[in-house]
Amino acid sequence: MKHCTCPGTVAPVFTRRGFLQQASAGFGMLALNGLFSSGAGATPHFPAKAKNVIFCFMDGGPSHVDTFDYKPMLKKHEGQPLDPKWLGRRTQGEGRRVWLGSPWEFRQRGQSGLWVSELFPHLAKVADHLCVVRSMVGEIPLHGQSNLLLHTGRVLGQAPSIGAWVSYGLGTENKNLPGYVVLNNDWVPNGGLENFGSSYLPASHQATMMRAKGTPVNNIVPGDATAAQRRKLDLLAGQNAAFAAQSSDAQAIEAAITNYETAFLMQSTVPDIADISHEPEHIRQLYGLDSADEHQRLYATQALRARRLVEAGVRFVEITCPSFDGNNSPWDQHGELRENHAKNARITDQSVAALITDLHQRGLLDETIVFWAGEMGRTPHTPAVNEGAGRDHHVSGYSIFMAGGGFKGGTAFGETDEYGANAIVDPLNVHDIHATILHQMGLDHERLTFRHGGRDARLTDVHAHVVKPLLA
Amino acid sequence: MFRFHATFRNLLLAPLLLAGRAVGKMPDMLMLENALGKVERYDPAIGTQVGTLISGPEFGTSPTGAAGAEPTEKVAFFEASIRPLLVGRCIECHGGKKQKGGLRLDSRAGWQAGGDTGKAIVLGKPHESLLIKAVRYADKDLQMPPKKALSPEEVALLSEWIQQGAVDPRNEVPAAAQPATDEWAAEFQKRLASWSLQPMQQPEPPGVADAAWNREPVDRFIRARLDAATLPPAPRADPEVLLRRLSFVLTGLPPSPELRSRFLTASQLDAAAALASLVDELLASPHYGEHFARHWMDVVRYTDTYGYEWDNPAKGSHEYRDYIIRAFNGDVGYDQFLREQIAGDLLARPRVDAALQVNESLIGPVFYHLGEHRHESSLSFNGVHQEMVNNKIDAFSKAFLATTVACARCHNHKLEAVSQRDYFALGAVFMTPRWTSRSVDAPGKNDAAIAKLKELRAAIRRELAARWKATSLQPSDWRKRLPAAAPALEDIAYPLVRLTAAEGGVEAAWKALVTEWSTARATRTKANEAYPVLADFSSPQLPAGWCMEGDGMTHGWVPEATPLVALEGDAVFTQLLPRGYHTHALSSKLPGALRMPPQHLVPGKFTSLQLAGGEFGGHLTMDENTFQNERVGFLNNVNPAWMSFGDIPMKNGVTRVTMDFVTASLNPNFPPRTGVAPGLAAADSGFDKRSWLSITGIVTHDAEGKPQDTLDAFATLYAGTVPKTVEEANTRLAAWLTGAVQRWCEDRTERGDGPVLDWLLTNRLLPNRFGSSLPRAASPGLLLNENIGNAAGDVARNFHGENNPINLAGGISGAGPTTLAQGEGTLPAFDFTTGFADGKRRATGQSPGNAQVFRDRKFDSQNPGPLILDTDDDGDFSDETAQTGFGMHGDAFLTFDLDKIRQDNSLAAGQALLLTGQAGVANFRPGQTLGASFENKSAVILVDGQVVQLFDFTDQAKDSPTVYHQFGRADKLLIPGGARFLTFAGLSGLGGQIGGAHLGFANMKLTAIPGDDSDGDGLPSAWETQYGLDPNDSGSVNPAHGAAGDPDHDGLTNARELAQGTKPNDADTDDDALNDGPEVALGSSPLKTDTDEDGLSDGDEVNGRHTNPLQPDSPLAALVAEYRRTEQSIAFPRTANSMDERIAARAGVHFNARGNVDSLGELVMPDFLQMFAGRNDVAKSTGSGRLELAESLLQPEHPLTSRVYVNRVWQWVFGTGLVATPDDFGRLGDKPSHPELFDWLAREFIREGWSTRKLVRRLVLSETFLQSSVVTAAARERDPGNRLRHHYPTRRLEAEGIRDALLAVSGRLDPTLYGRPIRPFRTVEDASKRLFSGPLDGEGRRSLYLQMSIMAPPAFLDAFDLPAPKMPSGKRNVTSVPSQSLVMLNDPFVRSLAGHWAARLVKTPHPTAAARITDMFVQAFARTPQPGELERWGAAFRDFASPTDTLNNEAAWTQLAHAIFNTQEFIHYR
Repeated sequence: MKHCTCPGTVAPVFTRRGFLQQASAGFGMLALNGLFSSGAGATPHFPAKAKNVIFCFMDGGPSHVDTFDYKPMLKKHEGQPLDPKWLGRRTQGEGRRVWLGSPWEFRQRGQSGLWVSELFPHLAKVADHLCVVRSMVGEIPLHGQSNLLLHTGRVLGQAPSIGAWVSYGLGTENKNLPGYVVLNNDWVPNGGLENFGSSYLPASHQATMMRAKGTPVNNIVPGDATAAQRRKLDLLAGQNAAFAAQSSDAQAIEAAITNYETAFLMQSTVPDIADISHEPEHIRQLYGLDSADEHQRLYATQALRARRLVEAGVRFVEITCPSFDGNNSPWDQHGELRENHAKNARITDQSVAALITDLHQRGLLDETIVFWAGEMGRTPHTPAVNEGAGRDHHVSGYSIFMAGGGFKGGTAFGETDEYGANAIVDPLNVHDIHATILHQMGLDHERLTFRHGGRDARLTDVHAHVVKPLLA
Repeated sequence: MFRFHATFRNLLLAPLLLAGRAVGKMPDMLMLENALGKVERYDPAIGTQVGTLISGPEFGTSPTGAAGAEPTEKVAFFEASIRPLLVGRCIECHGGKKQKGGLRLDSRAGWQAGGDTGKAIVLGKPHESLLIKAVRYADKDLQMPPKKALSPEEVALLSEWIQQGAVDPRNEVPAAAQPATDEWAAEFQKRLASWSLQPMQQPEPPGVADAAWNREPVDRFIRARLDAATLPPAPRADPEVLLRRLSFVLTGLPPSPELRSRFLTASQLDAAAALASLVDELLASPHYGEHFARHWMDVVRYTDTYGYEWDNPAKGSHEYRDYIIRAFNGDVGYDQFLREQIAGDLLARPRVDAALQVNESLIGPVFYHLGEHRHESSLSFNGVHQEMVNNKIDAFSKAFLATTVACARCHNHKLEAVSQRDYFALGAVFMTPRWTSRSVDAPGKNDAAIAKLKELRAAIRRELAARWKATSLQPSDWRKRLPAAAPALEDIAYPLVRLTAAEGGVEAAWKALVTEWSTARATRTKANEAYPVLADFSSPQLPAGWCMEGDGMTHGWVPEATPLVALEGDAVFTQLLPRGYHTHALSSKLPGALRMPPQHLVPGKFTSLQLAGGEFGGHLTMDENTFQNERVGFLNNVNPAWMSFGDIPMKNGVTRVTMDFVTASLNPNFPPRTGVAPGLAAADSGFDKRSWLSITGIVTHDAEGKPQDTLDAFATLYAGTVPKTVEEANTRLAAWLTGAVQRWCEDRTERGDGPVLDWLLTNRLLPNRFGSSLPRAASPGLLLNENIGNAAGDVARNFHGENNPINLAGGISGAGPTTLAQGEGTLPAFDFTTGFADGKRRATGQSPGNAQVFRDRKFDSQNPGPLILDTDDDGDFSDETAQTGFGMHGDAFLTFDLDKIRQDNSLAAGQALLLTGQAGVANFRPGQTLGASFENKSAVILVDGQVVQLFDFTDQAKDSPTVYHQFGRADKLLIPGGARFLTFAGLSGLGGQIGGAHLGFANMKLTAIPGDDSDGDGLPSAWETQYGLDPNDSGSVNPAHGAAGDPDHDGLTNARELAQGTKPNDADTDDDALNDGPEVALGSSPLKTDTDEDGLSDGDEVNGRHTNPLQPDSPLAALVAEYRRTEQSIAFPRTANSMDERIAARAGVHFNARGNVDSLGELVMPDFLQMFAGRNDVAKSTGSGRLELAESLLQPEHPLTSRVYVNRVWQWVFGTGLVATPDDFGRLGDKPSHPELFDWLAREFIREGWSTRKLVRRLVLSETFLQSSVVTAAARERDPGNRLRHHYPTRRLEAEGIRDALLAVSGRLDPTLYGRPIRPFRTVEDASKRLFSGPLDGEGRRSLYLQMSIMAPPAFLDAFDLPAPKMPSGKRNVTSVPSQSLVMLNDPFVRSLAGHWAARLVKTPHPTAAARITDMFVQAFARTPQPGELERWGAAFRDFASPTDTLNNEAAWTQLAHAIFNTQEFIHYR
């Protein structure tokens, strides 16, 4: 486990001028005045395959052996105690543990024959779009650390989220919208809002939070009637222009004046995008908005909004899972796996599949990466097999998937052992996934850097390689 | 000889770790069981060592090599005892660096190969091993270590190890911490040439031609460079501009109009003098300290919480924030400031604030604790701990050295002269002390009160002794106290019961008893020999190496049978304490901690302590300082019981496991995350907790088990002849009992008397009341029992009443909870249409005399807050905690008369109320889960018979011993003004049967929705209405209805009645036959019938008995009252997470090759960076070396310390430092723009006594600072970054500055200094993560007082570039984004302050709109508007005000105020 990155001795000595030049060339331009860039302002390192990411964050850790990683041995040896050699620091649980078979049947799906359990009937139908990695390895099997690792590439965070990096690297295509939006219903995941933060990157790259119920975004509803607000803005324009003339940095003041105009427009743009009431009924049904389950409707709303946001040019959209029982991480089923994993699946499965289908039918899937991942998997073992059995934290081998955006559909990459305990073939870590996603966005993870703490920091720290076999 | 075999199965902690799942259902139960002394055993055969680290095949080697190849316990023994010894004493000469005599001891292969003189070790044969010969110093030619021999204990450890077969897991020759390559040495030398490591120069300020710029050396340096570049400086800024700039730079607040006019007037007389005096005034303002403190808080990564799954409070964080404020305001030298933060706990003479009675120095090390803290232990999860250490190293090296040492974690620094060894050596400095809570009260703060309490306790004892001396006990007395069930052998009642029930004659029974007793005594005495005593506390002394903290411990030792004076109620004593330490012996407010040495240094495999405790007194185990984990247990037993703590096997590089026994305030992990401390409300931040802990014995032993009571109490009973008759026996029994009493009275108590006396006392066989009883409400029926308020985690008990829970008996028959849905069902047992005949509350069925139960706190119209329900009915509303509540069995209900509550609280009839609190379920016993018997349990709240809230506990109750619904967090319940009755009901689902479990409502509070004051006379309308005063008459019509009126003629005006909380229409509010006015004059309470609580009402004392109503009139009562008053006067302790090094030994940190935490290299011992080698004594310290480290930094020639700080101050004043990267003076950092000036300032700063204030004053009075913001085209072209300082930059306010300016200008600012963090406003709360919301405007307090939460920082501040938490940031980003515009345009906080400002403005009699606009400009911008601006804003006003164009159109002024907030000028200064 390597922890630290530092610039190589060959790193060019940065000068202020050099920095400014680099900044004006694209990267870091936002750092200067934090304006949302126009689409033309930011240039990728090389031609991009994908323009947007929709990250379906499965907070709490969905069980890999109940979803994408089929392990018949678990059923066969269910209830049998396991040798302590199967335990270790990347899996939770000590003492007597027994194997726990999946309560769900697995079948091969689509033309690709990808294994998907019956937990995800809808995702099963789009199996040929899914690029599943079954050999993910994390660091520490705890939520806070793993969430931060997944988002920021560091177990203790203190670094920008991947969404912030994408926003920093590419800007947004729509100046009335931010580059990074989290559809999260006021949920603070383990690890805190830092998961969505910009850390040492300028605050303009931190996520804008959008909730499903009520006012979609804080302060987006005008406090004044339009005419009154317009009057106020006109008043301000005159006043601020005079101030700019007296200021040593008129540009910054003028930028702020522009921001007011942008904000004015956002007040209508953002609610418009958030408003899915005009979506045709078949689309609403596709996403599951007609569900009887309130949480599913919540998730469906966010999924549909995610599509609308990427259509409108938002680079990175993240959807968090609603917690249906007040649990502090929705997929965290230490007990009642059968019942509550099914609930989580019911809430999310249809909408995620719908998103893939919908993007595909609109021709957007090629340029949009749908990234589905929890911060960990779950143990193939448990203290005792019973009706309420659950699975604990597990990062020594778990599954995630990408769809679209140039990822190879119908793929099952990497393998765990016969029990799903440890990744044994082609283990990957979060950094590899980050690097590969950035790569598809036209960004070289080694060149997307920001000077911080005595080094040129990057999302992937000192790690990562682009995983070419995942790409079409 | 100690034996160190050990199977190292951990007893106490295994269950906690087993259940190490991160959900909210942590093993409360297990902890409680442990707390009660129950020890869990786990079978080692199935691998239950704590946190067993057995790597999977793909994860490399485990730290102990091949786990399983060596017996785990032997490996652990090696890790705990042998490795540190070898590292500390041998490896310097026999390791990677040197191999004296050809011997290496840093790997197994090393000693196996041996040295020049042969094999070092003969397995199993210490006496034949050269190693042992050498360390024994037996042979004069072979004496190792050469300078100082090992201690006999250390030699014994080595012998033991060899005896056991010298198990040594070090398979590989370890990675050397210092790669001793020539390349690095050369590279290192090269890097020492970095500019920042060069000695500070002694430059002379150059002369410049411009006389104004030739005075202050700062200006001469700056101007010389400008002249050389042929760039002119900007002209001096206008006084108005300077005023605003100085005010923001120095205090972070806008200047007041009053200051402005004073300054402008003075400026006209003498500009220079006016400026100097303005600067001095601002520097003297307490807001200066606040503002500069916030700067420093960025540098040290300040937060109020530790994150990250549960946002736990960081203990003492706000004490540290206040400490910083005081340091700046008091201009504490930076040398002292630095010394305190690095080593404040080590100072021989700590700095004490005499006025506040705070030990300032001890607060300094909170610096280290900041940053994120884990909740898990390194023994379970490797890797997190090392991340935390990294954060400490990062913070230290950036804050004080502007050097990025953290980069050298995995390898030598790529750019700086920092080696990887340096990283770990610095880590070892920080890891040597114990990271724990300290009492930061000034030493001796409570001495006077404590001495007085001791005196009073002695006096009370004498009083009671006089009464007890006359005690004569008869069989009839004790018989009624005997338990029904057979008591245990050690129970005092045992012989009493046995003899009472004796069949076959007393003589035989007595003989049998004696035999049984003497046999048991002999057996137990013998068995106890296996438990060598470390301390029996026959004298106040701790075992060697143990250490205590806090007045509770320092003054906590008592001899046998010392009385514990009751702090409430009419009993004198609560208990007679056994000898030992009791932190609550005088007051449970006093904090206390006992710290055990690292476990591997304590002889014996187990250490057992005889412990009692409650109210979150507990124990915690910390491995490698942990920072925070959940290995905490809370005690909940009154009589001390033995608890065993087993040696914990160390791994993952952990070298020390320590244990602390602590009261809540000295527990660094208190409050723990939600659910870990049963009975603690999620929202409880752990402040002001009574808490206690007793330790009455310590033993250490190798075998499992615990010492037994040797039955001393019966020795005097059984001595002598056997009684033959019942009478004789009774006489003997009486003599036995009274004998103990007599000896106590004569102060010659013997061992064994204690239990007898305590039994007599607690069974009420000894007088224990003090005359006339205190007024106390009649014992309530539903209110539970004495246990209420015992916060020891036993929530269940609080809800379990002895007193007839009321059976609804069919009240809701047929309407089970499954069908009683929201809005449905009524409770027909009560008539909601007619209500109560007497206006009091009712319970179902046989309503007992409980009319007083539901009194409310008097409504304070000045500070309308919650009406806290007096749920424990003690007449005291200040003690209501989450532990007080009322409980009920299923199918019972309680109804409260809201009209009565409104009336009792001087609220208007029809006043709407907000209900908050908690509903929950609990069972009789903690730890007992409810299972299926709890199906369909619900707690219900009804308003006027309609269900408005139903809490179904069916699901949760099954597997949790206590479940709370956090009612009142996300779902406050509004009770409409028209509502008359509030009902709490418990449904059992058992059809009227009383279920085994209980439903409870705790902490219920009603908040009045504050009313207005329609006539503006200062008396709230609701209050006026309530007492028959006209709310629309300010007194101008009828003087009696105004503030100065006195309609009840009691001598108090209405205003004073309001202030006193008395009724304006009732001359004698408390009905004690003494009117309110005379009471206030006399000093007695107009709200309390019996002010001195001596059982005589004030009226009776004054008019009847002519005694003093302020002094109790019975000597015993007086003494007890005095004791209680004194106890009350003791403040709750200030504590903070700091350092304790009093018993710490030097600790090493394992070197991690390539940063890999699984690759344990050699232990690196404390040392400072190699770049400062020879200039510090860190490595020579016997402890951590922190003090030596601090002193070395403070050597006047240190190249970094003063430069780094002076640069920060420059940046705070000018916006950009002389070095633009304040945290990095390295290769990637900036170079100083003015090197000579920089060194001159750095030296001058030291010369002036490290005074920040003098430095700031010098800078802000320089011409350089006083320049305007005007930039010439030439300057813009040739120096766009203003490196040469040719103007003062226009600066945006920091996030805090924007919010503070809004508060200040609107008039809402509350300038109060210091205090506990205020929760930021949140749109959604999450109790499970401790994310609670505070008021929208943060109570008007400055932003630095808002709780800086790691998980979710204050959203308003976050929008304006609040630095990311957890990491040091010397410089903030300044971004400008549309979301900020949205905040300023639409955020309710901003808009409400605009309204607040407008409301104030329209109350000011401005003659014209222009005059008002002018005033607004002065308040907001510290300048008057230009004519064009007046026109612009006037037109806007007319537009907003139209068509009702009046000067008092508040809505229009609100719009203008809001527009001003939205100007760029408002959030910038220039």
